[in-house]
Amino acid sequence: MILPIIFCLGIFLVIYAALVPSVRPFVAAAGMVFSDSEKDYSTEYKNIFVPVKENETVETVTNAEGEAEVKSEVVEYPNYGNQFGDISIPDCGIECPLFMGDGDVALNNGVGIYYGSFVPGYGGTTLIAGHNNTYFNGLKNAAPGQEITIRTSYGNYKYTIRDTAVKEALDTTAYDLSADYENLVLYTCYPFDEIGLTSKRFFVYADLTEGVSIEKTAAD
Amino acid sequence: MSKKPLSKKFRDVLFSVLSFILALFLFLNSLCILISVFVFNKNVWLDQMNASNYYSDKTDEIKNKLVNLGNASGLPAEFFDRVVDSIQVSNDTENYLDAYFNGSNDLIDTTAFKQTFYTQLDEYVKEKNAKIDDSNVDYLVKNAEHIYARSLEIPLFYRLFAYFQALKGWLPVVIAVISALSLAIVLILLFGNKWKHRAFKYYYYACAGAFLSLIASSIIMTAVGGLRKIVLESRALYNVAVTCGTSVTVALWVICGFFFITAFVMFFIYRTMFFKSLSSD
Repeated sequence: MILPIIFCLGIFLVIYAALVPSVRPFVAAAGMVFSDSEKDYSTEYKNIFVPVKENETVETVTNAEGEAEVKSEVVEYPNYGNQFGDISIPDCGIECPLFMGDGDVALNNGVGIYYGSFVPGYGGTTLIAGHNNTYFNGLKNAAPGQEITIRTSYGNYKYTIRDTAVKEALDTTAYDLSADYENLVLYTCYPFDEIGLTSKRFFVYADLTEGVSIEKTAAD
Repeated sequence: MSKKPLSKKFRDVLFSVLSFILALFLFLNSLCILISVFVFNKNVWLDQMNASNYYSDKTDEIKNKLVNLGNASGLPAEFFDRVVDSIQVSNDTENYLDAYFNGSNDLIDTTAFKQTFYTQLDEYVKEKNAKIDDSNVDYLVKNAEHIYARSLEIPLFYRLFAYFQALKGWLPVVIAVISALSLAIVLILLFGNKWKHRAFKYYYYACAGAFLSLIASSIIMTAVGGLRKIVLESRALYNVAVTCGTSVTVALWVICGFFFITAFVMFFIYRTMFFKSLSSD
């Protein structure tokens, strides 16, 4: 019985010695194709949005200029694909969930913040995308002076539309992601209600009128 | 020391080495046959696809992707029910695999899909009296066509084409050579031993060695769950890979069973002949 066991060990030894040097790159490549766990194909998204109620207050701190800021510890920063708020523009008939990231799941269920921009309250540009035939169809009625409300778990933010414009899809001057003041940019495909993939985008520019900034920590 | 025991010892070592080589060949040939059956056989691919409901799942996947495109271009989800169906997906997949296995590294033929898309779009536009711009529509169809073709492609197939064709051509030769060498060893063992029961002893060693090696491989395959941890973007293709992994694991166990029975039979013959030779002495 011992000889078959020796044969078995010998077979693996021979295969290892003969094949491993030449198949090492393929084994390494196979390592990239397999993971430690089974892939999750779920299209469900995580919702971390808990609206701040009318009579509720969010914990704040006072900054060096004496202004109140939302304490950074109470802010749960959303991960890509999370629903973390909602947006409404009553004059345009828009009211829908707000996601972090503008991937397919987000845009099928609401509108999404471009991952390279800032969350409301952070003091930068918040760039939000939505489809012109679904949640952002109402943007065709957008006009200066209208109010936009974004609700998040750490506070509510109100913006007033300053301007609207139609620009080319690849025009990167249409928004300024490096702005050092709180502003909101919404965009969708243009023209509205047309069939086909368009090369133009409709932009809505808005400025913050109400809402508490998020406290900046050393890590930020 | 006398000359005869030395010669006998040498023969024992030689036959044991031959027996080991036979075990190695049996193991390698089993793996080559498995690869040949499961990787280089188009019909097995199609069977695995049917068994894992690939065409229906793939149709749903393509529709979901096109619905996302529709959201961006003013087309409702129901529109895509008219554009993609599992028969078309099945035909295009089979043509793609046919061409690939026959040595042509063609991309997916999207002609039928494109025609259907344009026809249905024309009907929809007339039905809804919708606004269209030809260049925007062409761009939409081009994107839809790209999504359709990319969804039906098997990942890495295009890049691995040269290796695939080379291996497909060489594998039957390798199997034939290993089989011929195995047969030669079997004959050497049979005719090299005056007492035939010894030949069956070496066959038993070889079959048992191959069995143990294969069972070790089967246990590893079963323990890791076949191809369950493979990372594929398409769920439909993942299901095919898992089905295929399970079939390979089952086939490995079947081969193990075959070698277990063969080893047992060889051992039985060896013992029977051994006792017969003792009684004849």
